[in-house]
Amino acid sequence: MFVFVKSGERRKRVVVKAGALAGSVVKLSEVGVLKVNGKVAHPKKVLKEGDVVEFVRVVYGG
Amino acid sequence: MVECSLCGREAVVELNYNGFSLCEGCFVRQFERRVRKALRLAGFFKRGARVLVGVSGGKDSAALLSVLAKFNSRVGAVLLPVLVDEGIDGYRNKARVTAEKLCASLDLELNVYSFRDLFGFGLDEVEGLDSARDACAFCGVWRRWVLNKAAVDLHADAVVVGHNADDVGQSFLMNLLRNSSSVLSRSGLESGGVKGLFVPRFKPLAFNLERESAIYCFLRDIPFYLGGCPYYAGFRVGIKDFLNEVEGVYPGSKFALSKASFEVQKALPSDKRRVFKCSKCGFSSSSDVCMACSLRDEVGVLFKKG
Ligand SMILES: [Zn+2]
Ligand SMILES: [Zn+2]
Repeated sequence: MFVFVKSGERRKRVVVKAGALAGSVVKLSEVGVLKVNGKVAHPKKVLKEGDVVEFVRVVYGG
Repeated sequence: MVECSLCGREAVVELNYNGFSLCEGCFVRQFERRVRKALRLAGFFKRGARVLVGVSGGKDSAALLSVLAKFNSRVGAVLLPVLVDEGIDGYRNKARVTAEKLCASLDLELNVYSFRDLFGFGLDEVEGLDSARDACAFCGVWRRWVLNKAAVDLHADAVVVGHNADDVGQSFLMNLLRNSSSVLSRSGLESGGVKGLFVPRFKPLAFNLERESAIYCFLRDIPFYLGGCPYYAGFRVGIKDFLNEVEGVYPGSKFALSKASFEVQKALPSDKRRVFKCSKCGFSSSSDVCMACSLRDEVGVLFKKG
């Protein structure tokens, strides 16, 4: 199946296995917050086809 | 679905430092409980108290003002949001729009104090000067001075700022690395006031992580400005990156460090240095002329040269 990885205004279509977890699609770190379809999401959230996954950088400097 | 460790509803946040997963409601309650604890320890948040809230438009101060406004329906203090406009075009002007939106949504009036109005120049002009110091070195000192001036103007009993556990840990580590023990002894939840010279300052977010302020804002749909300051540079940035890396590998390090900061501060003898009244501005100082005024003089000389 496919999902979208959002970064700023850009969206990239990415093919993932069915049952992929949100946290496996983007690189998580201390400097940001994971969102799925615009809402804060748990890294172990199971993705559905067409979901938009985003790692929002909220900490600046580095 | 991952269940909330506390109530079993769908979890939306994973906290690496304790292994908990929390749902929206439990996360919001945890964040607010920690703010309440800090407020209780500080003791200034009472009926009729005039509380200046430093607001930048960013996530920390947005979370802080929103929590205080929520609590205030029962407390009955007077909240005075103040934004310091340093004169950084493309950054603070944008953040200010967000701060105004937030204040309007809370039915509060935003007070703006700008470097350009107070000093005759903004940080953009200072950045262009040939100085050995980076812009942040001036900005931090002046921001602190302006907030204190605003607090005196607005007859505030207390000033609160959005410094979180990350900030506390960073400052602690920076002071250790500079061997500034006198600063360490003053770096607790509170910077004590000096009657007529310095309005006491508190950090109600000191028990929450920086990332948690952002999550709180997202979960409660609190508007905040996401951009970073273009002049952000120097020692603190290096320390911040380092601590983010350490936390990634050893979760819990940031809380341990901020706790250590408070413990060390309590254990140190209190800073007994004499407080002077600055001969130029009349606010508190560690010598005849305060740091904010001497940096203004320094910049004045550079402007004349340039
Ligand atoms: Zn819960
Ligand atoms: Zn002065």
